[in-house]
Amino acid sequence: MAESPEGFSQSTSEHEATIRLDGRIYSREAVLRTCHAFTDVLYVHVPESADSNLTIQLRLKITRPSLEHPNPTRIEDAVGEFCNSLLEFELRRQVEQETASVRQLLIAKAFSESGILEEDPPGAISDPVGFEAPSSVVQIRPNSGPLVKIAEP
Amino acid sequence: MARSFYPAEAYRDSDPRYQLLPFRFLRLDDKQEVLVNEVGEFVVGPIGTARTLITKTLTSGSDLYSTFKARQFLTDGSSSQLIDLLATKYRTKHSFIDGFTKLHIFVVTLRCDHSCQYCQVSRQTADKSAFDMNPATAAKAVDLMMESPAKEITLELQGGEPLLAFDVIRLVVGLAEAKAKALKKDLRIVVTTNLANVTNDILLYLKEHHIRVSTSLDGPAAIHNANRPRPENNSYELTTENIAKARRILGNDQVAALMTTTHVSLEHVEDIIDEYVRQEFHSIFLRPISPYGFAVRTKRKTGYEIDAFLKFYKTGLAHILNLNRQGYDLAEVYAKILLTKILTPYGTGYVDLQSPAGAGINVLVYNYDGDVYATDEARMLAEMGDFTFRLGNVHRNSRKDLFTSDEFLNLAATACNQSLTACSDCAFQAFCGSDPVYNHSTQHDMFGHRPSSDFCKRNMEVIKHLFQLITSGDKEVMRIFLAWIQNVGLADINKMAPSCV
Repeated sequence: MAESPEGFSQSTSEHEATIRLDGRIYSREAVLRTCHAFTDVLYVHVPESADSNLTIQLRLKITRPSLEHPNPTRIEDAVGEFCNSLLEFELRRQVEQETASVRQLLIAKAFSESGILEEDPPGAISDPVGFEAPSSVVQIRPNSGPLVKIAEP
Repeated sequence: MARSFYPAEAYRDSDPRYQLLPFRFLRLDDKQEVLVNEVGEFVVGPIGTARTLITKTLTSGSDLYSTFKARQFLTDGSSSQLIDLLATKYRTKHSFIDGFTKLHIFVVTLRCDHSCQYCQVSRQTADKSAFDMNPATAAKAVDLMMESPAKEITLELQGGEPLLAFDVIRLVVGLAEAKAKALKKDLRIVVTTNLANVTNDILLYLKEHHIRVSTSLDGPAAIHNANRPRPENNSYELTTENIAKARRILGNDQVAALMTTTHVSLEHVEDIIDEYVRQEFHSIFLRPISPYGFAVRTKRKTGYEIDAFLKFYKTGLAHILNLNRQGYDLAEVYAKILLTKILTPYGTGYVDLQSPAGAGINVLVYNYDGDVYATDEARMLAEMGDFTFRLGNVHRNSRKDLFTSDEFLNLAATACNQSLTACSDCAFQAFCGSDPVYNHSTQHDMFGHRPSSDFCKRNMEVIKHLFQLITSGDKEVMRIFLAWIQNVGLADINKMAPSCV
């Protein structure tokens, strides 16, 4: 079992577990990605929550050994791996959030020589979306304007 | 339409010391993790390395900091050249897209003299008219092939057993050569044949037209003949005899062989590899059986679990490395494809492991009846009554029709692993690919479910295994890998200065 981090609690029965997480520490996106990664061995349910906390209900798909599955996953092991993976998915989300605009720019630049784009995408590493050199391709609007956003601030 | 963004302050870094560049990470085992940036460059470190980088607790000026900076996982400057450099590397890695469809597979006949259990499509019949490509279809298919923008076109003649329809081969080759010359395209031709019916006249024709031969050799006689039955039970004898004959006329480097792993093969990987050495081949492709066509219908006879294949593969790779250490140059083709992606700036032309997927984009299949499919596997599905990936027909549809069909657009929507659930987070994204046809066939969903996918498990395990070998500290293994990806012998690599390897 992984050491329980702050903002975490769990209850476990023979084949099921419920995990409660502080939504200020773990993002819903990271939780859902982690849930998906375990859908081969677990049934996963993330019910709507009235507060900022996130509740995750986990149930083993295979509970008894069979010829096809002689060593089914134990719920304690599944929860431990789930928690370790949750930390990794939270870190991945952070990388994705910090690098989304740079990634978009580098892919646009990579294919700009293919002739698909009418003009080279603007931007440099210090100004990945062209704040200092606005163009017809990229337009900056204030927060209050029509919401067509590519990343959460 | 113009894109809109939040104001500049929304994008400011919380920590001004360094800025992350796009990368992904994955646990290799209990001790190590691998970090791979957007262009496929990697760093392997102890568990926690990614966390240190992401939480910005790296010490500026440390070796690790310098490594991450040099390999473009972080930047602490504002150089616009950096993004251009990364863009160039990204484009190089994806250069296989350039020119669009390069591989064109012509199914000149479905007729075959073998009755292989894992074969998807062959028919044993003497009725030529029913299953051979007719001249009008051949002409239309050649026209469509040559409309591809690719400067280099590879024409693969396939079956059934294509040499049973040698008149169709002559027709297609003649038309393709004339058209390639007129359009100033480079044309490469390969015939995929069991060689059982090859004659000296046919081989002389292949030599005259620079046509390479790809044949099937599943291992020593007992395994080969069990997998590939003929009425006389002599497939192995015919194949090996005719490989020798083909080499005499065409040259050794013009004859290649492929093997398919059935349950009969599973316990005999070393015997299979030794057979390839005995036949003086210098590459072997340890291929799992495809989950299509008759291979699915006869799963009880041919099928096995992916874990059994991975054991087969790893045991085989270890044996191949030992043979190289003992002085016999032998490359494992799947490892070579992956190592090229991992250790060089380049991608590969291997259509079964690409993103965007090779289907349609890098390969088209023209069936004997004029139907056009996105991949060879798509044609095999059609033989089972599933026409999901039939893009059109050479007699009724233009090239534009094929690539604006619902069938192709559905494929295109699932063709990029960058936007598939789980793949989008995977550190091996740059080395792996998307295979909507496989997903559809095995999971009834083109997007696929990675946690239970054999495609995912196979590639994850094989790539992890290669990383473990790369980081094992065994310099001989690295020299063997470099020999494979540079297409040279181990002796040539060993002649290089130590600093080069």
